[in-house]
Amino acid sequence: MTTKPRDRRPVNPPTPNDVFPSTQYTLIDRLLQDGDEGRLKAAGHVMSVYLEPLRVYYLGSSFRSLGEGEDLVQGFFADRLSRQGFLDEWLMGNRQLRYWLITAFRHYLFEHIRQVKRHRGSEMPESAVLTDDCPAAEDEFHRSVAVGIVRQAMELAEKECIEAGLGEHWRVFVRHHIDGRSYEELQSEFGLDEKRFKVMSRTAGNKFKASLRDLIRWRGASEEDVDIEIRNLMEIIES
Amino acid sequence: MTSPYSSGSFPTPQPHLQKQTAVTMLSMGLVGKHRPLDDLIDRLSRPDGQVWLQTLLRRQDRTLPMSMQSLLDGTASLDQLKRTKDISKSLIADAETREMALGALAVYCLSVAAALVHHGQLISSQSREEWDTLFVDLSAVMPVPWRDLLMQAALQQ
Repeated sequence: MTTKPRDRRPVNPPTPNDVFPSTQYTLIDRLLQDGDEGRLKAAGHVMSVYLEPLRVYYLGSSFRSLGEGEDLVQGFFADRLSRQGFLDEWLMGNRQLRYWLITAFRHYLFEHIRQVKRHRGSEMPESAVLTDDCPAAEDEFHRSVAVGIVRQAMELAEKECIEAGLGEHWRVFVRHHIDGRSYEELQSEFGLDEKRFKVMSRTAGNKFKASLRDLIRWRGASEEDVDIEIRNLMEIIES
Repeated sequence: MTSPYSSGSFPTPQPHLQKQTAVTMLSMGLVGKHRPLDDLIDRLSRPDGQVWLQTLLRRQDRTLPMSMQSLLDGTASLDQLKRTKDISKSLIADAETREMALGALAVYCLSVAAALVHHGQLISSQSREEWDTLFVDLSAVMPVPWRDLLMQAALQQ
């Protein structure tokens, strides 16, 4: 293997404002104050994180005979996120967005059933006798949210690293923590000494940590609350 | 503008992330044991953090055995840095306000960093590994040129 020349680029982290991005809560709050355009952006943000988890929930639930999962989730977003007060109500409460959305989605599905019944009358199929008691599907939803949050935090941290000229820091971090490469292998791959390697990896890791906590934080949540939520998400994935 | 509710705007499915990897990544987000330095990092992260630091450092210039600039340019002797560190340590314990204690902690860390960078000496009983971690974490919220000093200290062999 060819050893790359030792990296002499500065390992300076970016400015503090870049290190601590807006939380999901403050991001949505700020967007909602920005009129219709902001509302659309907030909706886009919510959809980017929760489309897949809601689809997963739908497919594992007794609602699944209602139609195509993606169509229903899309219908749900179109109906609820376009309402003036939907996300504002979440902002006013002290609840994680995932619980807010799954509850709203179930309500939406029941509304959808009533609508279908009105149209079809007694032609509603037997399979459409539904219950919202689908613990396994709900577990899958929360599991999918947990993985999605990790993925989004990684995307945010990577973006921040690249914007700050720390792209290699991020690559070192990913190669070690995601790809499982040892220090020794990476020292050879990147041409870094151990000290520099650890500094780069920690710098990128700090960015990931800040992004993750910001995504998880909700209104009124303390640092301890965020820790508890992280532990909950870990348990959900492992269950 | 295209509505985000239209099907075309839904995100592309993301590549699979192994469950165990996701758990490991989540565990990295835990705060862990609280360090005094975390209070300083929180203070510096506030919107007025940089102004607060500059005001604090100007005030330190009047009370310390050498100027704060000498920590950067290497003109502070090792003895001066040790005395600065000791004065700061006392101030942390005796400070009248939390803000003053945090300010003293900042100077304490910077004097240890300067001793490493300019004299190659660790003037603290805490391990080098612990200091390297502290330097990296603190550098994330420090303005230039203090950020550079801290990163140089973390990389010092």
